[in-house]
Amino acid sequence: MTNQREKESWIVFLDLLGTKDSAKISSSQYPLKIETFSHTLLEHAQNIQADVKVRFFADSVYLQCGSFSELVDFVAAVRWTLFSEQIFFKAAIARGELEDRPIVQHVTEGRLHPFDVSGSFFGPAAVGVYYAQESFKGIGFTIEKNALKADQVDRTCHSAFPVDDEASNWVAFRDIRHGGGEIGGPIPSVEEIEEQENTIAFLDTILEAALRANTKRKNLARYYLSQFISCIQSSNFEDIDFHDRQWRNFPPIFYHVFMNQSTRKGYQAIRGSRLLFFLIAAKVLETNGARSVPRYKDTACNAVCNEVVRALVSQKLTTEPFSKFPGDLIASDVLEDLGRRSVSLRMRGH
Amino acid sequence: MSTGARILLAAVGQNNVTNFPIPVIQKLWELRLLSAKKNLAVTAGIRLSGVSIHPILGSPQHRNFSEWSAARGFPIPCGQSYRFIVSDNGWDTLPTVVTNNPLLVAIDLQKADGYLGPHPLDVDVAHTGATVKTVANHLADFLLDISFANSYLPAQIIQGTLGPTGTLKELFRKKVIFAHQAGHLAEETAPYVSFSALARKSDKFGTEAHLDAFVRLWDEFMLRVISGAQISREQMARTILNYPSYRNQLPERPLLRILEDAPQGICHLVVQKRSMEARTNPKLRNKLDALLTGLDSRGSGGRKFGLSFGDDPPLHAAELAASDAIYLTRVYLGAK
Repeated sequence: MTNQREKESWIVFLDLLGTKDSAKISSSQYPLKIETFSHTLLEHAQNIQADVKVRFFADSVYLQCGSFSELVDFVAAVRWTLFSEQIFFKAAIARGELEDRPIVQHVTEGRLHPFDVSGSFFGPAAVGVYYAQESFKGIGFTIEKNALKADQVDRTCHSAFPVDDEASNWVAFRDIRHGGGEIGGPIPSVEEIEEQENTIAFLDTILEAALRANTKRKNLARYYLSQFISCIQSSNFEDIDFHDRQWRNFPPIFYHVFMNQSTRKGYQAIRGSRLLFFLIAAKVLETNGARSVPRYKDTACNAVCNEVVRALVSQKLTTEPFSKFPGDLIASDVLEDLGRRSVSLRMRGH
Repeated sequence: MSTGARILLAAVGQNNVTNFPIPVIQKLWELRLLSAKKNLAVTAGIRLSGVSIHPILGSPQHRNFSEWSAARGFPIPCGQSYRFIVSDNGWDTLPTVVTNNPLLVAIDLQKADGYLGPHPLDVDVAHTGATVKTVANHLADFLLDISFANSYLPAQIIQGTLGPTGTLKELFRKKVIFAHQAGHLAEETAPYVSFSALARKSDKFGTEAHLDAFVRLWDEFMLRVISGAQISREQMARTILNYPSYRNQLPERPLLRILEDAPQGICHLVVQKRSMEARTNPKLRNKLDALLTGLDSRGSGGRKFGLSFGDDPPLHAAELAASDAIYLTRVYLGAK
């Protein structure tokens, strides 16, 4: 009897970042990092309720999984755990099988010069996902867009990474969407920020790593931007409001990028971070308000729309052209509305 | 007492892994303890030290804890290491409390903060409950408490009290009995209690009220402990001089004389620092002069020091300590 369900198989190639530096800086740091990385991966992989293959080599790993939803749960848990421990990686996900063919070991012991061979060859899908990871200039995951079925798209989100030092050109990709546990829920008011302390600490960790990267090499922090973009894309902006001169019901990423002065300065120190501010503003504008139409089309939402644009104007973020933002992230009509509001505010002396 | 408080995060399921406060726990020092450390150093002359955090994440697949922890290097000696297991589910086994690991606290993640007592599987293991939102505060409470015990003067007094054959386990039991007798703890069966947790009650961690109550609890306990401790004033002088900040700063004989003259109880050692700010800022210099003049002070020039007696540090001491013009140290003195 044939199985009516189409057999699924996905592969991930995951490469640990910063190992070169760890190995250079401290002989103990490198093995510790590798050990934490491999243990975390294996422990989370053991929870996958589907066929799994894991193949480690050096500071990288191939993983094959027989279920998309199980794979997404796995990668979200790995991202949360390792990023929280300041262990960063970049990875690509694609459909396919590893088709690994182990090379037979030839160990000749007891001779003057022992001969020891081991390893595996992998199939073409493994090569493809390796190169997808190589060309991905961000942190976290990139998933092959065309491989997704309609019901799988919801678990991913649009994101982008900059391709040049100036962060003026962007490449769009799809990331695994952050779940509610990672990205947190709406914060009723700034006094209740501790309710989402966990997500704030998670974002702090990534921002600190980005700023540290900038001290190692100029503009290195831009590699972290894709993760912030994915966080914004995964957040819920439905309930955000501006009332009595106070932001209400905002997602943690909004607080971290927009409201908190010290972290905002941190973001502004990253070349290309202007996109984060615009993306947040666009999310506020394009999300449906109380009357189920996008806020920027609803005059009842003018206060909240104008306030978010006013923040961009006051940070002097609207003086340069808006044209170079990736279209997958900010729709042209939203950007146009944003531009109109910013000009109007500047004309009125804000 | 050497360093190393290890936090072991264990039995975190795939479904709730992102609800678990790993980032907060990773940043526990930065988010909670650093400000408490600064505050206590300035306002009470207490230097927290000797605790570092090494979180390790577990999963429910590894129910055999001994085997699982062995694979993670836990049997490897790492100085004095305190272990905290945070679990979303019950364990089949628990690691044994040994000399190198004098304390094990098992925190069950549940819907409400729970009772502190001995663990059903092992009476030497402290067992308590916390929610996902409160677990970081619980861990901070334990670490603050252990940091206080690790700070150099309490450590010396504790060692003097326990004697050559004493174990930290005995001291922890003394703390529990003290807390029970003082009416802070309902039962006296737990192997350990954190004074920070008792002091916090419903307060947020690190508030002025919380830290003040925490210091008062330790004061009461230390005064009870030192009344039975065999620590001579000479030993105390040597202990102070062994501290890196004081090694080349204080003359031995005057320090011994000042300690010999001091009554039993709490006092504060004020030591002038070679501070440019104190030399060039007239307001600060005046306050420093006023402070040292008012104390039983010894030494001359930039090496002046003095003792003040009583539970509270002398006037201006906090401001001068915050401005880096003095070292301020809380000292517990036993009977002569």
